[in-house]
Amino acid sequence: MKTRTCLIFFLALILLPVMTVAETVYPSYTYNEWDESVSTPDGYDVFATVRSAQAEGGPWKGPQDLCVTDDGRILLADTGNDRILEYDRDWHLKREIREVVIGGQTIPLEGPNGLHVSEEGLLYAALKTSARAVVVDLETLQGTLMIENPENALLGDDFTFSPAKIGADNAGRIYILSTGCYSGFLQFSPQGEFMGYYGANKVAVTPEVLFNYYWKSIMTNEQRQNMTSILPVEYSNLFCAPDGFVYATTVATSSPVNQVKRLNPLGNNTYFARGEKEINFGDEELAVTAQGAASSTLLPTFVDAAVTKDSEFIFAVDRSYGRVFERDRTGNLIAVFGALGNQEGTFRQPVALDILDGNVLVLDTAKNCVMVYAPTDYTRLVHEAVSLYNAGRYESSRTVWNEVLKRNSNATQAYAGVGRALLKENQHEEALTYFRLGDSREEYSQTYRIVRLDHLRSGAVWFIGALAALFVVTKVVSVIRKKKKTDEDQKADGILVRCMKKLHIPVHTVFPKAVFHPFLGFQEIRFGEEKTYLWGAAVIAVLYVLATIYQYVGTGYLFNENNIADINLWLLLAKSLGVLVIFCAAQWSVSILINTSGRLSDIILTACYALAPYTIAIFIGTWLSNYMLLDEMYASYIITLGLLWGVVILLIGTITCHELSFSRALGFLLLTVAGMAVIVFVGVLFYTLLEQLITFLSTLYVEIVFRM
Amino acid sequence: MLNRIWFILLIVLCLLLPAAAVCEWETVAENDRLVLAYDPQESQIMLTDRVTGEIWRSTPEDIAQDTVASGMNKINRQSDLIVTFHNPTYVTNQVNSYTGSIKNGDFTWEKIENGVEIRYYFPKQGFLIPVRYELEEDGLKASVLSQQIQENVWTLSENPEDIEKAASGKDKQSVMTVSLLPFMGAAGTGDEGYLVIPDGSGALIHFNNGRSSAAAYQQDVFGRDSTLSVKKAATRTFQVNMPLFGMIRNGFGMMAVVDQGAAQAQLNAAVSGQLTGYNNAYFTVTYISMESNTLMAGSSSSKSVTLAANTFRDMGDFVVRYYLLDKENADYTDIAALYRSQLKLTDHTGTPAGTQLKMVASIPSIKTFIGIPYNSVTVLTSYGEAADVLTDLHQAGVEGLTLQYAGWSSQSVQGRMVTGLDLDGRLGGQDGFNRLLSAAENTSSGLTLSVDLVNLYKNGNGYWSLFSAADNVNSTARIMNEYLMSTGAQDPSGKSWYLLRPDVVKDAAEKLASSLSGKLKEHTGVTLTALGKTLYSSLGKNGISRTASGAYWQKAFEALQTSVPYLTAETPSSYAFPYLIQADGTPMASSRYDVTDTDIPFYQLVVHGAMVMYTEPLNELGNIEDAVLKMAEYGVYPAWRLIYRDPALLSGTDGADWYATSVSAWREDVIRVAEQMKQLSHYASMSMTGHERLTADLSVTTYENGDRVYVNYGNTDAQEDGITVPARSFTIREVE
Repeated sequence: MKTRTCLIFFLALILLPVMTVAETVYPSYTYNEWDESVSTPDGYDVFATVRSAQAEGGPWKGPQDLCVTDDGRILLADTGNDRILEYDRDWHLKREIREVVIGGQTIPLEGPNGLHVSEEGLLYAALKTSARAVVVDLETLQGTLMIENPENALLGDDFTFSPAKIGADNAGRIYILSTGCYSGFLQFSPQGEFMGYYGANKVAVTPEVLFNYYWKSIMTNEQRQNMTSILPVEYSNLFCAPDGFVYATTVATSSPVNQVKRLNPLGNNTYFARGEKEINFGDEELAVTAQGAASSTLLPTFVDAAVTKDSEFIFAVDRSYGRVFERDRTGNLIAVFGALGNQEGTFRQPVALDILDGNVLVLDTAKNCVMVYAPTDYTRLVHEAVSLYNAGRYESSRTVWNEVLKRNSNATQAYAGVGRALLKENQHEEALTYFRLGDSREEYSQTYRIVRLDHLRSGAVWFIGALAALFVVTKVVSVIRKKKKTDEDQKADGILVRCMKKLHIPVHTVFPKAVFHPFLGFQEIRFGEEKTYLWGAAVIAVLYVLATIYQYVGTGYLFNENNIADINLWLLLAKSLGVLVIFCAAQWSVSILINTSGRLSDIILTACYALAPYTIAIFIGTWLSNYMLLDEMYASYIITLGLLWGVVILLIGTITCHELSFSRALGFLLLTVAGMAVIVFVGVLFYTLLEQLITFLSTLYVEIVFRM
Repeated sequence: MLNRIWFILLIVLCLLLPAAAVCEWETVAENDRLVLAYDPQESQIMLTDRVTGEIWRSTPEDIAQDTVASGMNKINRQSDLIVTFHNPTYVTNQVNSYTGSIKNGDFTWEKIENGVEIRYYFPKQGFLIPVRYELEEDGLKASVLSQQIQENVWTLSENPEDIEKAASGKDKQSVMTVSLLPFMGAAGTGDEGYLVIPDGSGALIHFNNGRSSAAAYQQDVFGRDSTLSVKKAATRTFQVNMPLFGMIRNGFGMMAVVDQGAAQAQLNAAVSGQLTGYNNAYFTVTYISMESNTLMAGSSSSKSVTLAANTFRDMGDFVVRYYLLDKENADYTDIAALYRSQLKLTDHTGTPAGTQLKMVASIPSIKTFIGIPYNSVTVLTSYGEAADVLTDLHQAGVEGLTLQYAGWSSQSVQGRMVTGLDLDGRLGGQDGFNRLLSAAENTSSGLTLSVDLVNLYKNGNGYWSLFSAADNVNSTARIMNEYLMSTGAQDPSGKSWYLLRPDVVKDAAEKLASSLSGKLKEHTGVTLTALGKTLYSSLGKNGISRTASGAYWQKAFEALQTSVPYLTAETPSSYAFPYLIQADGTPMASSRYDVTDTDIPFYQLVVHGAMVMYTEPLNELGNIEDAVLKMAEYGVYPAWRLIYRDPALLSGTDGADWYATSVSAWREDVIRVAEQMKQLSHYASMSMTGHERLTADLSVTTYENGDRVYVNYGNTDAQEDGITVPARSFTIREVE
């Protein structure tokens, strides 16, 4: 029994299927509608770990690349040992390649750093140590092409050729990543002639770049030379896929988007999500690393990518967070696996990645091992569904998506998939629900257009009927009223106006008869005999606060990016009531300063009355936004209109109450805004100081308690 | 030329020196089976098995051949103690007994009954650590006499003048940790065998497995002290749930168990090539923990300071017992059997063993009323609905159902402490609950109500964070946080909560026990979701050590055991074993640290038969079929997390992590897996006596009565012992 155990132990070491376990050591997650990480079932399990010490032909020394051939052989660039090892799919050593023959001359493989095997069975190897790239037949190890010291005017005189990674497309064009070259990949013809740069990363135009451009134009040559030049981002690796595209990973980028690119033959990035949206291949949530007082965001650093044969799924491994991301060709996140750590399936320094029989192989040069990840049953389902879906077979994808949803209700993509299928089956209402759950706004909008039309059609009779009834009723009522009113000699007031009267809000303030009596309402306040009450204004202020909350919560899905669970009532209160209070305080201060005739009550009343149309507009607009499509911005037009109306009232109120001319009133308002800025500034300053004081006091308390 | 000769001479001398130091072994104790010898020269011990002739030494014999070790590690091999300590400014340092004491003869020893007591004096660090090695019937008892450890001793003279003189200008060094017998039984590169590590389900570290670049194994027994803050939570780990390690060396077995002070012990293991040329494992006792705190956090003058926690030496002696297995060709199952016999667990009685349903009754949520949001509770599975599910599944043929019911109480759903049967009107109140009870009775199902007792999410119901929270190193309440799955960093918008102080945990448990007393029928009870796996101290002023917490926990378990007929816990550690009749969320794998080789069902070998074990919810796994096979191999039964109502209710709540919960969607799977596992249900009351992995794809598990369960993970049928095990399936071979 003992010998048997030992035997099995060694078997297990070399030949793999170490049973996958129930749970992986790294978290499996996806991102929800608000880009927050949420759990999912495990996407990939560690199927096996091939460790250098136990591998046939091992130990390896600082291996840098891994390449899987079409027939399932694995080539490993054992860089430190100056050789390439060829394994079969079960990790039995087939060949140890130490040299190749180029045109009769034996070339040793010195520091092989990048490998590629074409469909025709040609091995492309970038030999970093000897600054060469060779192309040989994989079987005979003989070839005719060796690239050494390429010379071209484009390259310049001080160019040093340091081939790190290599690839070749269907047409045999060779792409080489040369370390220290920031202009893109070097592109060579199948005959080895330098053709130019490929996929040059463009410098993003930021204000800083523009400023530097301007600055440089006025500097002397010497100064210019001393200035660090802004370099385009550098590539870290490439993968030439069967679909003819070159998938490239970048390092040292300034933002997390477009870190993995799909370059077309012209060298332009074509990897974008639906609606030309840029793809953030790695994490949405990023860690902040604090070094002393300065903190910076840790961006993902992708070091290698690989694509499935059908170009449906793209894998890339990120060294910063130690994760492999899988996305489909429209950028949807399929799976995340791996982590930094010292457990099986975690990385220390991943350098290369490839796909073999649906399993993902990741080479870690620090751990000196290859980890083999196998998709779980759950991920297989997702793959099947995505393939069906992207092939346009929505109906058949629906059952698979439903199975995915059963196992993962956080799979937003699955909801959208089911929604699509439902749409095809003309089940619009149901499709809406699923598009909503799948956070697919565009499709939601398109479907809602149909649903809304249906509603209108089916409800049209009722709608028109109700309208007619309303018309008749109002007519009848007004006729009766008129009869009564002739007695009381009163005008017929609308319900709104009556409400305002009850609240002692002069009618002409909020609804000035702009043409006839623009100033009447405010004159009533300022000079009128009848007393005005502040509590009318208070009601408007309260309604305004409610409107802000309603806008946050109640805006239609298509226009609402808020997560209701994240609502912060204090923040909303500060945004609404806070601004109002600051405005009043600022205007009062300014009015005292420049000695206008307005009283504080006038200022408050003016501000509140000015808010009334805005408040009403928010209510109406927010309600309406629930029935609008993405391209119908009417709701926001209404709200803007309300705001403009409010500004007009504010202006009129200011002119009247403070007895200013139009231009002076305008200036007065501008001064108020400046005053508000000052108040906010002081407030922020005070808040920061207070916060520091509190931190200080609490630290002091902690210290005292600790020392006691 | 002369120089060269001198040089060669020097080298020869150096090589000869270790050999020249001839050991003078003195027998200090012996019995029928074992002999304990002590070498007063080098202060090392040797345990000889008279029957097998196997020798277990505290320091390896042939250290000269080890070329891996360097620096401190080199001398550690000759030491029976490694001590870490800190100075008044919390700078830590390490010293071993060889350099610090043995080399210059600064230790004294005396023979005691059955053994030897050695008092190591470290003149440079100023402390005195007495240890005791005593021979027992089946092994060795090694103790660090914690309470006799002295610090700030700068001379052994008792003259006060001398003491004052010696102490002048010296800083007190405080002993933080002591590693006991780090190289006891250490195996060299020529030895064959493995270490058994009770991490999660259990793992083996084969000797000389070549993982020299991996980190050595180092984990706290019973998990990390949750009172100490966590910076990052990037990966999932299982904890060491039993205070032991085993070693199989050339077919002979040894098991080391921490007998006293387990709650403050740390398990270490290394293979040759990592630190030294030896494969070794040992325990370290922690008297003082260190923690770095950030002062003035969030401001530009924020600063990280390291603070030392209280000195906890209240465990009495720190005792590790080394047992020698009295058989040849021993393996890990023998170690499990030995540990099992020591735990003296009572055999499992006829509680249901079949399928566990983890149902969630309700969850806090945010709802809106005409646009205004407010805190509310969303009902996911009312009492009546849970009853319906039990009845339905029972009628569909699922036997041995047991329902673990979370969020069932009006208090617990809000995160307050549960102190009694606080039924929730929204869930159906008393009437609904009675319906659930009778459904459980009619279907002979078990019912356990989830109770936390550790995490204080919300104040109220008699427990307030201001008075009852466990403290940090700096005497302020320890605030627990959530961590992001993506970055592993603290979730800025996540929940924060407190830990109940250990003595309050005991009070809360007793309060709950007394209010439940007599109210629960047979097969109804409580699941402790945290108490079985979380053991923590309270630091700062009036600190409570993990050892003292362990005593409170024991009282809590005792109180609950007497009044609750059906007590279970999530992922219980060994301190909880005696009180439980069921283990939920059993670990099915180890943390798979790079240094370990294979996972084994060590936990299951120890526990099986004494408790019914259920898995983590199957429906949340990526590979359900694999998990079913593994359950058959490990003797564990299926569990499912389910809610009755629409899972869409979970979106935007804390339940978003339950991503596969719909009863209607999973009903068929529950029935199918129950049907598959049915034939294994009667093994629940038997102990598991053997486990072996026959090939990479085939395993066999043996039960008390001799029945063997073969599990084939492969995609082709397997032949073994004359029977065929179909691909991806399992077969039972009953004993004739």
